[in-house]
Amino acid sequence: MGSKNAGFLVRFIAFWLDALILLLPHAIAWSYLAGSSNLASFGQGIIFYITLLALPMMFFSSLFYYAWMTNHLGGTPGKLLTGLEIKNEDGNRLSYKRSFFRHTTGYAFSGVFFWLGFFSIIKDSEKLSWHDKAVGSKVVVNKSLWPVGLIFLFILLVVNWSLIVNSVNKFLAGPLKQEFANITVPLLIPKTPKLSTDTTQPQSSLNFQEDYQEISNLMNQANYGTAEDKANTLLISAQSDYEKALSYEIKGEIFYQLKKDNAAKTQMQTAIELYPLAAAYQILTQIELNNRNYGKAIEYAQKAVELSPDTAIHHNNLGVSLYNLGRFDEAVVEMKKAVDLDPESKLYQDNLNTMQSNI
Amino acid sequence: MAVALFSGGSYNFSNSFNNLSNVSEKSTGPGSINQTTQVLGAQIDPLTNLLTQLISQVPTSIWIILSLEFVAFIILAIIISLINSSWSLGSLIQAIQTALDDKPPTIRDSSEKAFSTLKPLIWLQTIPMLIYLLAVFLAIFVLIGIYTAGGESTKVIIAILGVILGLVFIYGLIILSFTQIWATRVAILDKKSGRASLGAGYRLVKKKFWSMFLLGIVNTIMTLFIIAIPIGIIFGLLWAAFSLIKPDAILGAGLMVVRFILVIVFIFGLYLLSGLLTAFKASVWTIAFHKIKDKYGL
Repeated sequence: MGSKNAGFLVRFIAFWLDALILLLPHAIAWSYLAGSSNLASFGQGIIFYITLLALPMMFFSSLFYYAWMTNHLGGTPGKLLTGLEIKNEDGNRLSYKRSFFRHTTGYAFSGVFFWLGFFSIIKDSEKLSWHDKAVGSKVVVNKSLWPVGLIFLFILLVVNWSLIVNSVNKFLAGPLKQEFANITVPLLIPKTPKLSTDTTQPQSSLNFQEDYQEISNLMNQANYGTAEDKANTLLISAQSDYEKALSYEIKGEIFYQLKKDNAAKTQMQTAIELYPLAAAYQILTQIELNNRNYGKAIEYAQKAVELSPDTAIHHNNLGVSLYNLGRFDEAVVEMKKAVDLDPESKLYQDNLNTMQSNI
Repeated sequence: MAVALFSGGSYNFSNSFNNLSNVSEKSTGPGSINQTTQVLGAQIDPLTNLLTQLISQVPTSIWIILSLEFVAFIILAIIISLINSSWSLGSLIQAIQTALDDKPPTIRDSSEKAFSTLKPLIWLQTIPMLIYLLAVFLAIFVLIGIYTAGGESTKVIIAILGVILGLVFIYGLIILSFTQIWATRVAILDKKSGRASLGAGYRLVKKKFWSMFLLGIVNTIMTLFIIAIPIGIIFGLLWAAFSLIKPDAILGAGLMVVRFILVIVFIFGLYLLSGLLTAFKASVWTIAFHKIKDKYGL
């Protein structure tokens, strides 16, 4: 009862001791997580970490570590290591409810205004914080153990620091950094687009070809309005079903570029009804992939491959569609075909690498 | 997914057409088109890929435990938040009461008194609003049910009834909010239970609805007035520091320090103001509560 109230510095040591004790399991887990071989295992690890450590630790610290220990032992391990004890105004231990309140609402109250409630210990004549006053508690010095507390604080600081630095180093040196960049920075889109070239070459008139090329040039200049007008005229001038199909296809492509997927789809389907164009199936595949209709995407991609088996992009699209539906082995086979047909394509190689690393 | 990029694609596209044109010009017969599309091939979306793998590879038991933990976490957070708000409101009103009694308010005294009123305050914060919302949802549910099942004439009646009920609900919400203002003070200052406080609060609202309404408006205008001047000054200073003064090589560092200090002052000022306003509004309603109580001898 004759114990004097603890000052700011010793309470500061005790506070950080508790914080570092509670941080330790997290630091160990982070070190383990940072060593993950790939993003998928890292993500899996994060789910396990949240479920088995982070959330249980949160419950443990609020309900047991601070509240129960203060109620039963007179303080948290940090306080006890520094020889401090939390008591109520009568000199007895705080009730569980008051302990819980002290470390939740009380701490929030002391911290709400730039932690002034904690710093008030320095100026207060009774060395009480705001949360002490709010809950009717005081922190007394049972034994002068602050050097012991300081040693433990130093050890914990070094251990936690080493673990965190080790985690950061592992992360920076390992494959995770690059995989994170792949997700966060949209750099996977290759700078040089690879165009699909359909090898089927049915007949069309010279005038038609010239008009078709003019539309293509307009699309190159992103002049979609004029391109669409020209495509309409091209359709009127089209003589054969093949020419009509090409007109619908290029019109559909304009819509696709304008992100009008439904309109593009209609045009492509009309084109296919007139003449089976691999390019039309290709766009349809991409639309279905965009909409995550992988089954339909596979169907269209297979048609494109059937019509133009030597075009790498169709195998790529089929591979991606199969992969998204979980048909990994078939996906890899198709992707390998795409790489074989166009070994210089970064896109196909990247897709194949992603597949192989994740299967 | 990589789609539709024109940049860089023009070379290949034009090139293939140029070759074609040359061939076609030589040909007297119908030409052919080396049909191309400028749309890029599909690419595996890394994020979708990752999420798909996560969902499939993490065991179901872990997902169940995680869900349960999240529910427990939300419940604990709600409990702590209710304790926070009830205790802070209780302490504030107790402190105002102490000041009105011409005594110096202290954290210790106000907090200790607030502890005894935690239960009724938590009850007042949750139960009446929960019951009210339940009634509202039930009514909406019944109305929708009748509306979909009923004929044309029923639909018209339900639509009219819906509008009337909407107005009633708004009125009810106003009454409930006003009731809670008085009920809180009854619970804290008269140490009554949550239910008794709610009843007493409602009786006061019935007697002084329009006075409360007017006081609410005056309170809001005064709050805006109090808030406008200091915020205007701080904003003016911030604006001056960020817009008018252009940093140059010599003054750059100094100005950055001034800007930093002003931002800190702004945050500090906002904190202080919000505290002042809360205290101001709580004081106004507490004084009004005493006046009304004295007048009606409640």
